[in-house]
Amino acid sequence: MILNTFYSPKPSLGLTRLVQKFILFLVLISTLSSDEKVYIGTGYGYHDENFNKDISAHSTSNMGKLKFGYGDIKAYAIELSFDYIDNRSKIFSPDDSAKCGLNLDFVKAFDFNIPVNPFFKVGFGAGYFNVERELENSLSYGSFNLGGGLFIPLTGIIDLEIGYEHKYTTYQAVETIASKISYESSVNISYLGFNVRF
Amino acid sequence: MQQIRISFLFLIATMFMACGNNTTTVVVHDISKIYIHNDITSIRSTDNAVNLSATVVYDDNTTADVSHSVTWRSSNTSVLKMTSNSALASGNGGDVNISILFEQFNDTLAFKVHKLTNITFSPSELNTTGQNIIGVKGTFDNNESNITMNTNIDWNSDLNATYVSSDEENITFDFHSYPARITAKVFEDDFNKTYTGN
Repeated sequence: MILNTFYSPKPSLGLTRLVQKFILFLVLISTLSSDEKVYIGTGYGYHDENFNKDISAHSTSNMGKLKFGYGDIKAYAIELSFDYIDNRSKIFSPDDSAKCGLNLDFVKAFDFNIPVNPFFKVGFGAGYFNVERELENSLSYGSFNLGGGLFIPLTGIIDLEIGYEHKYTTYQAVETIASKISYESSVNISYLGFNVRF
Repeated sequence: MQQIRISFLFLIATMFMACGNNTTTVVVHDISKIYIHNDITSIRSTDNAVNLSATVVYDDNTTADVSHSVTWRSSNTSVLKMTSNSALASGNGGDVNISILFEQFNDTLAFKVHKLTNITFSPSELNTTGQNIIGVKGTFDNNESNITMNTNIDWNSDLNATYVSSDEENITFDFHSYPARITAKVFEDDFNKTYTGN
């Protein structure tokens, strides 16, 4: 029944794209080596955000990260991470709250027979934060993520992670009555964390 | 041990960097109020539509035109109709409130449609048959007289004359015989003129 729906003579564009993404996901999963493991990790970092397109504003904050991953420390992995950003700037309202975000990243790590495993990652994310504006109580945002760093194995199951991420962030449009303005920012994150692999 | 030491230094550096500058004065200014410009507070019942203006004021006292962004309403559509920000009389005189709305923001302007009380026909008498051009001017309840009438007039006649054409200044009737009566209907009010042929 499901297959009939998926492969009906005229599948919808959204369904087709969903199937394509699912197949891509399966292909990515299939590339994982036999050493893949479920892992959880946490991290602490420095979040530096610049708005330089429509407005001049700057935000620096501490951030915490909790993530769940599946993959090989020396090869490929998929990571789902939750960000908590201690937003101390007041750019959108007098009481901009901390930001909460969710990211999905694809990680490629390397094994050069050295004590560390370099990696890079690419993914996307979304999040929100509360504001006190007349026409908005919260603003959401989406991001395209690029990053890289080092996994530093400490024991068989624990490794340190030092990383850098760059995010292209687009915020939900702000209503000004005269127009809706969508702001964009560039985010640099450096972080330190550790992972436990099961 | 060396790896842990490097990571600890990275962590300290990250915490130090997180003390950077923050934008703490709101950059994306919020809405304070919207208002209707009161440079136009009345029209005559035979005037063309007039465009009203609305402005939004932000909390830094900057402003923007929102004439086409807000919802315009007339409190009595049998007196005045609003099409976007365009106001046109829909009755021969009366008082009405015009409002603008956008979410919780609103403003109201007391507005008057001046009543046409008399039409002056020139010449005041005719004695030739065939097409005659007659100049017409209006007098209104605010004691304005000799006013050009632009719209909202429906011209008719009895069987002794036939309507030919009209513009803002003149009407043309084909007179077959006298006496002939021509009528200007302005909404619910009729204005008659009888030419005796003398």
